[in-house]
Parts: sequence; structure tokens; C-alpha cells
Amino acid sequence: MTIAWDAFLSVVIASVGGAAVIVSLYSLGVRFVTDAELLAPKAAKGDGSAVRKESFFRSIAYICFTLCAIAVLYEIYLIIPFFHK
Amino acid sequence: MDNNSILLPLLVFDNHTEKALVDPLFVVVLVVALALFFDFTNGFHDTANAMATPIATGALKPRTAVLIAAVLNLVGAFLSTAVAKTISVDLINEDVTIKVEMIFAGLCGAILWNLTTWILGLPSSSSHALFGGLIGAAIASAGFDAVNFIKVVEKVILPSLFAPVIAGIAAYLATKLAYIITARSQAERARTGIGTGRSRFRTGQIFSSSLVALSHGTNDAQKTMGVITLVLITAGVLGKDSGVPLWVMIAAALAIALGTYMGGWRIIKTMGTGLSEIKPAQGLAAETATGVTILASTNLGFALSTTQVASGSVIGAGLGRKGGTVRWSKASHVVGAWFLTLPAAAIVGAFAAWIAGTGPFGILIDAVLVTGVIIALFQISKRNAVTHTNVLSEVEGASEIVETPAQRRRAEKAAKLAAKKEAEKAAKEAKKNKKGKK
Repeated sequence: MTIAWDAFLSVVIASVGGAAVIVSLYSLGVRFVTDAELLAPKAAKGDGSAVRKESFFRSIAYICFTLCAIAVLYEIYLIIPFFHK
Repeated sequence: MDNNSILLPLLVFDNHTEKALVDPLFVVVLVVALALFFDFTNGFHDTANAMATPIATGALKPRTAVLIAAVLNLVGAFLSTAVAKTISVDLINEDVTIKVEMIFAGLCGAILWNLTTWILGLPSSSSHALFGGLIGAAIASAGFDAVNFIKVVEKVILPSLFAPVIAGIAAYLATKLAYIITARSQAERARTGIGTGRSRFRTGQIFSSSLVALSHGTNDAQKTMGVITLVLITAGVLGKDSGVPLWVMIAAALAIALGTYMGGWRIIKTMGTGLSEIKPAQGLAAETATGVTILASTNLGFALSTTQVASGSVIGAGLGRKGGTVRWSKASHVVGAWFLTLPAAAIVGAFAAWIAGTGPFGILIDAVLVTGVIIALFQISKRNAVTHTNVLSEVEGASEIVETPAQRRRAEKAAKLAAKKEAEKAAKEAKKNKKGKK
């Protein structure tokens, strides 16, 4: 019997790739939330384009956070044998 | 002989050999109890790995954090049984007849090594102690053929070498990405003073540390299930190659969850003392890398030390931030302890197997030894108040391997100040001498 090196490769890909995707999505969320917050004072003054931009950034941020949650749940889903019968 | 059966009602008198034997079922019960105890200590020991950061940063209230960790460990224990199978089916060669006494001795060896190192404050890994104990006991009682070494290398040794490195690389990359992605908005925030910026990673840490707790349950609780299943198969209660019975899953899950919950009080007591230099973004990256690496390994039945994976991640995240450097002397100290655990526990396990092999009283001696160490630990933990130094998780210890620029500047400043003082002192001394000569 030989050692299954492809199994190790799959751990590398799942770990490095998974962490990169999850953390990137969260970071993008953080970034866009901050961008939206930076625009908030302008938006409060009634600047139309700032209002639009702010809500746009905020929606992108929430999409990123949601995708991040989905990515985490997907990683958990992958390891549960119950779903892969 | 009559005396013996009064002393140990569970001894069976064998008419053919005229030797007293221990009822195998009694040993099975002992193994189940010890395995669950081992599971409990594992949870107790590892709560800090998952929840120390969100508690320290104030992202979660201590009680909530500990409760979340306990529940997620419980849930994690039910998610997969791949690691349990590694232990119950793969490690020990099937064609060699093993006895329940051997598993008992292996478990004793693991607990003895684990608790003794804990009392002495030496870094260790409960998982490696468990494997070491079992392997040592198997070799001692049934020879080298008893152990399936290829499987040991493939599912225990190699993962234990690779997983911390993989987690480290994952954490390094994730940290870099987190800093690059948030760099512009962070700079803008610093300029204007508006917005939350990177402190928002603190909230994310609630989820990432939850992921660590969940993955901990998927890997560590499995080890106990594996040992219990192995002893049930050996005793003939279960058929060969059978899966983990439901009651074993429930018992192991509850034991690790209870241990996690109880262990949490140690962290709560030391709140705010052990703040590490890890920033929220790094913490999130490290914890995500840890959780994902453990999950991926669990899926393939790799039984690894969750503490070592978490340590690898913390080091990777430390290096991922600008200017982080490795303190190699500290790193070699930690890594050296990792390599020592398995062979050392194997020797203790072999010794326990040798004692158990001498007969029923051997088993009694093993049981007394383990009980003694447990009582000693209990006494010591009662006497010593929990302090920053003894509650520090090994992962936090590993975080000290990386030196941040701020720490370096502080050290340099201190060194300069010391040198200046030294110079002043020397100058004064010289003046005095001059005066003295006059």
C-alpha cells in the first residue's frame, strides 16, 4: 500500500483556498461597509450621489458577508457524510 | 485465591489454567470511562484555543463564548466519523489478536503522559499522547506486527507534520489578503476618523472562532469514539469493521462539550490578562485557516493535533502582517515538544502494557497510577490560583514566536535606555575615581 498523496493535495487546496476565499469575502465586506460609512456624512447632508453610492456600497458589503457565510457553510457541508450518500 | 476474589469481585477464576483473570467486560467499562475522561480533559484544555481571542477582544461575553464553544463541539462530534474509523479500524493490524487489556494500557499511558506534562507545564498534544500510548501498548503486548505503520504514517504522522504548515500558509495568505483588501478604506478612515474599518474583523472573529470550536469537535471527539469502538470490537461486542454506535457518539460528544464548558471558567477567571499582539484581522485569518484545515483533514480521516494546527495558523498570521519576524529559538522549542510527544507517550504506553500484562494486579496498578495522577492534578489545580502564565493556551505561546515591529521597537528602546544608563553610571564611576585620586 502506498500513501495517498492526492489526499494531502486536496487538504492543501481546501485549506489554503478555503481560507483565502472566506477571509477575502469578509474583508471585502469590511471594506465596503467602511466605504459606505465614509460617505454617510455627505449623504446626511442630502448629497444625492453620496446617498446612492452609500446604499450601493452597503448592499455590496452585505452580499459579501452573505457569500462568506455560504462559503463557510459549504465547507462544513462537504465534510458531512450524511449529505454524500 | 479466595482473598483475591473478595478484593476484586470482578476477577474470574479460570479452572483450566488455575489463574485469576480479569473479566474482559470490566476492562471494557474501564476503557470507556477513561476514554470519556480523556475526552473531557481534551475539551477542558482546548476551550482557550477557540475562545480566548473573542473573549479578550470583547467581541463576546465570556459566558456566551464558552457556551457557544461547548454547543459547537457537541454538534461537531456528530458531523463525521472518519477520524474515529482511522483509530478503530486502521491503526492496529486486524490479523493480530489484540486484547482489551492492551487498549486499556495504551489509554493509561496516554493519560499519564498527558496529565504529567500538564502538571509540569510542558507543551504536549493530547492527540499525539493518545496515539503514542496506543501504539506503544500494541508493540509491547503484541510485537511490531500489531501496528499498521503505513497507516500510522499516512493518517497520523504526515498529517501532524503537514497540517500546521498548511494552516500556517493558509493563515499567512489570508492575512495578506485581508490587509490588502482593506488597505484603502482603512487609510481613508484614519484620515477622516469616520467609520469602523478593520475593527469590524472583531465581529467576524465571533464566527471564525465558532468555526474553530466546531472543527475541534469533528476531530478531537472522534478520537474518543475511535478508542471506545476499538475496545468494543476487540471485546467482541461489535463486529469487525463496524461503525461507531450511536450511544458512543452521544457519550463522546457530551464529554467533550462538558469539558469545553468547564474549561471556559479558567479563561473567564483570567480575563484581560493574556492579551496577545494579534490584531482582529489576523485573528480572523488565523481562526478561519485553523477551522478550514481541521475540517478538510477530518474529512479524510486525518487525526491531527488541533492545538498544533492552531499554532501554525497563529504563526502564519503573525508573519502575514507587515514586519513580523520569527523568533527561531522559541519556534524550535515549541516544535521540539511536538516531536517528543508521540514517542514519549509510546514508551509510557508500552510500560503500562507491560504492567497490565503481568495479570489482574497489573491492571489494578495501572488504574491506581492513573487515579493518582488525576488526584494530583486536581489538588494542584485547587492550590494554584489560575494565573496568566498557567492559563495561557499553547496557541498563545506559539503567537510569541512571531515578533511584531512594535515589540521590536520596544525591545530596542529598552536596550538603548539600558545602554544609556550604563554609560552614565560608568561616567559617574570614572568621576568618583578621579576625585578619589585627587
